Amino acid sequence: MIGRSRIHRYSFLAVITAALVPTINNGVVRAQLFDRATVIENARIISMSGPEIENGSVVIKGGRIQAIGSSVKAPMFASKIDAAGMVITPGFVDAWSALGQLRGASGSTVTGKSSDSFDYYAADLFQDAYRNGVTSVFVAPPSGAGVLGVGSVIRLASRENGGVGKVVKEDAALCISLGSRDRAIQRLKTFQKIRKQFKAALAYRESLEDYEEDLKEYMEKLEERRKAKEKEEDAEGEAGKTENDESEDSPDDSKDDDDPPDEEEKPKPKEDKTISGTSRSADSTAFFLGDRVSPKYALQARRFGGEENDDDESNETTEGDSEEGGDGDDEEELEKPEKPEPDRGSDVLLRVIDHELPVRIEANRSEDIFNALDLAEEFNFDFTLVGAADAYLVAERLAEREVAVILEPAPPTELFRPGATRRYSHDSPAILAKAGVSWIIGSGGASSAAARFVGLSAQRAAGVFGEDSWLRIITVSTADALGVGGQMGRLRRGMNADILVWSGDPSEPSSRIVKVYVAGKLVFDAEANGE
Amino acid sequence: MPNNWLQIQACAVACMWLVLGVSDMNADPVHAIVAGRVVGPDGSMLPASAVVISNGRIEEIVPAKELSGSGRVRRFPNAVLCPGLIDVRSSIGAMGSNIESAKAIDPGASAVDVIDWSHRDFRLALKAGVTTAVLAPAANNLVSGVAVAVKTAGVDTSTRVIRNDGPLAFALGSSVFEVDRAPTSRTGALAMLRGEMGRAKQGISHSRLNAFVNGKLDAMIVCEQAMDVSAALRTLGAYGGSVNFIHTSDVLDLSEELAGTGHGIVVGPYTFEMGSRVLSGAGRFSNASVPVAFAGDMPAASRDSLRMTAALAVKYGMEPGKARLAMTSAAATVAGIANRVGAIKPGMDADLVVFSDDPLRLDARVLEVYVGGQRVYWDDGNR
Repeated sequence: MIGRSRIHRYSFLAVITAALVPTINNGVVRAQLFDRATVIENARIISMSGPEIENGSVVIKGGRIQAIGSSVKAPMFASKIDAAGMVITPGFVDAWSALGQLRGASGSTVTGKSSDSFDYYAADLFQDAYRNGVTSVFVAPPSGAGVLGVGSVIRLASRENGGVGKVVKEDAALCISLGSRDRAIQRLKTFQKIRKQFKAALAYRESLEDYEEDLKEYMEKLEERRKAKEKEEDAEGEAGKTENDESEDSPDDSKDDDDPPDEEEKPKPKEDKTISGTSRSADSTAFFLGDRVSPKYALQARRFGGEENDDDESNETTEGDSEEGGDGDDEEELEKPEKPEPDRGSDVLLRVIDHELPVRIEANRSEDIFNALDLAEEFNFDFTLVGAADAYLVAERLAEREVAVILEPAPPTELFRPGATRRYSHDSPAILAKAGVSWIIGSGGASSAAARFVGLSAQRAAGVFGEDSWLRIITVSTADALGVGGQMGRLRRGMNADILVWSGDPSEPSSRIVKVYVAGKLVFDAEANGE
Repeated sequence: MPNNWLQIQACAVACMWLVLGVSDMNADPVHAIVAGRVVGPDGSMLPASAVVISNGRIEEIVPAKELSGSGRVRRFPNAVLCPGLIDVRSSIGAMGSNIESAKAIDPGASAVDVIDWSHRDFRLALKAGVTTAVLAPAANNLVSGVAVAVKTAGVDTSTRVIRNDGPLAFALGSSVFEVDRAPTSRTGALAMLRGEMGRAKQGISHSRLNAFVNGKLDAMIVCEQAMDVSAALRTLGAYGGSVNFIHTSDVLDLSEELAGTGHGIVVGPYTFEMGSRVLSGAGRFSNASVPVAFAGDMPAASRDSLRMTAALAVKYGMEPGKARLAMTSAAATVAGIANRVGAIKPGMDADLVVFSDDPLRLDARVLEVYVGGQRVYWDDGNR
């Protein structure tokens, strides 16, 4: 009882803090207290949300677009910027970027997050990104082979002390690479390893389910025994003494996935009986199948072949248990089922299998693309193909499976390339579009420096495509593909103000970006920079 | 003069072709190309004009409405007509290694000897709108040899060579140092170069070097670093009819030094990986009135590297008109072929590219390419 009231007190404090923290940190509130509105007037507005506005204004307040349109009235005390002859567009969103990725950041772990290796203080890099219109990026985990980790969408909003970057969506997508830069046998191994990881994730789920069943059974047995004991005690005339103790040991907790706090109080199984000493001492950061799961469940994992055999398993365990305790022998010790070691890697993959986490698979060669399709089919998830040098060769298959593609810029050379991009075609955007495959463009995961030119890359790809759509590709299309279309990629009332002010038509070579606002804050000003 | 002889040959072939109607796709020769905009000799955009072609050359440029005469007319009301692009430093069509390292001063070498005339790179270059490629021997010798300017399409090899006697290519930088022959250091290299220039001055060096010091042969000097440009300026700047430097990485340090000297600079190819310091070089030079030309370095670089270079240069401060010139007439000037190609004006070869929009826009497509008035590539939309 004492423990519970303490929890209550803490949770009360937590509620207060939770209510206070966003109030203080909330951009809107802070802005209303300290910021005054900015109005950009007389501009041509390409909002990507509705038709172009020939002569309109945008009101920025509290980091957001407070109003946008041709008949917008500027609020009092607003600072006005005359943008006559200028053009306003949304900031660019890069679908697959290495911008700000720390050099030598090692990836290739399921639980890795690209937001962890993002260099928030690479100021020069970000200034150059702004100059070229980039305001948000999907930061891919460092390239490698296998399951690379989770990529995040980062807005290049300014942080304290000159830093840049605010994570908009931390779990934007799980990134997998089939290692198309490696040799054939290595790529095959990579693919098999990834498959194993997915299988292990399913086995892990099964072991968790089994554990819960076993635990339930165990709790029931405990209850039976207690009742039996009670009866005995009743018979002895000492009833009602233990009732208060039970209520603390409520079996409801066992349904929780996380360790219930009072689990510690339960009797622990003896180490020597379960032979699980080795597995438990294993490094918990390694996510190899056998290392994580206690041998009993690992055995099931190994046996797992895709078919549903829950019933068999539970029958077996029941039999086993009943053999041991069938006679109702009081001396027989009940063995509490052991919870499988938590496997965070598998947890991530299970979110993919449950369609809670989008997947991106980097594959360039046609054979790798086929493998990616097989993987997605086997574990029933949807994915976006990245890199995709050979995608145009298998465009029909991709269209059939409704796989979208994120293309990377053309290889830097025309010389024979033995590697992944040896069959790269400059025509692939057009071929993919013709086959009905939707594609966008990213700056590519290889170079942090190249990331700022995603606009030019999109323009280059759009030229092949033959449609005047390059701006659309790197704004709305990319934002929607990343699942952040409600937060960026368009200029609309209430959305974060990620705004580019151009000296003229964005497609005209002579046009420059003169001002960049990210989350309503002026982060780049060509005039102030003396350009 | 070899140039005249080539011109005569070119004319003869063009006439033969006209008479015989050799080409199946162009049985009816093009009389004029009308485009919504035309890149003028100063790099700016002229309004809708007709370029009249005769005997493989540009006869005249008239406002679109005033076009007269009979013959086939190609009309592109929404497109831009641009001189064929010139890659002033490329290896397009070069087969095998052209690295000759036996002697550091090798003016006898010529890049024409490494060309495979049916190389696939020529086709790629055409698709990208590049109609002229300038090839120089590899820059690993102080005097590397003479460059050659060739067209990326044409009836036979003799008509495709625009110039095969220069400019004379020099190189400075660590790539010319060897362990088993002089020079082995920068000091040695400059000493050797000065010595050779002295001999040339007395008329006792190779005939090409003799011609160079007497201002009868132009030169292009490949420099690795800014200090190599400075050294070359001191050592070779006083000679030659026209001396141009090829250098990309540290150009910002040089714009003041080169301004007013009359020497031009070749930069590029620019890539997405380069820093803003490098990318703003072209703009800095051209704003300081130093003639700037772009090197595409196809096929070591991507086929559209010339236009990428131009687009990046413009993003980093170069005037669009100057950037268009840097891919065309400024490049022709550096290669010493400005009398033949690089501009849309009467008397020039009808090497023309129809872009769907301003070539500085990377989303502009190459619609048609003409070399010597003959359509050699067109986008059939079939991909």
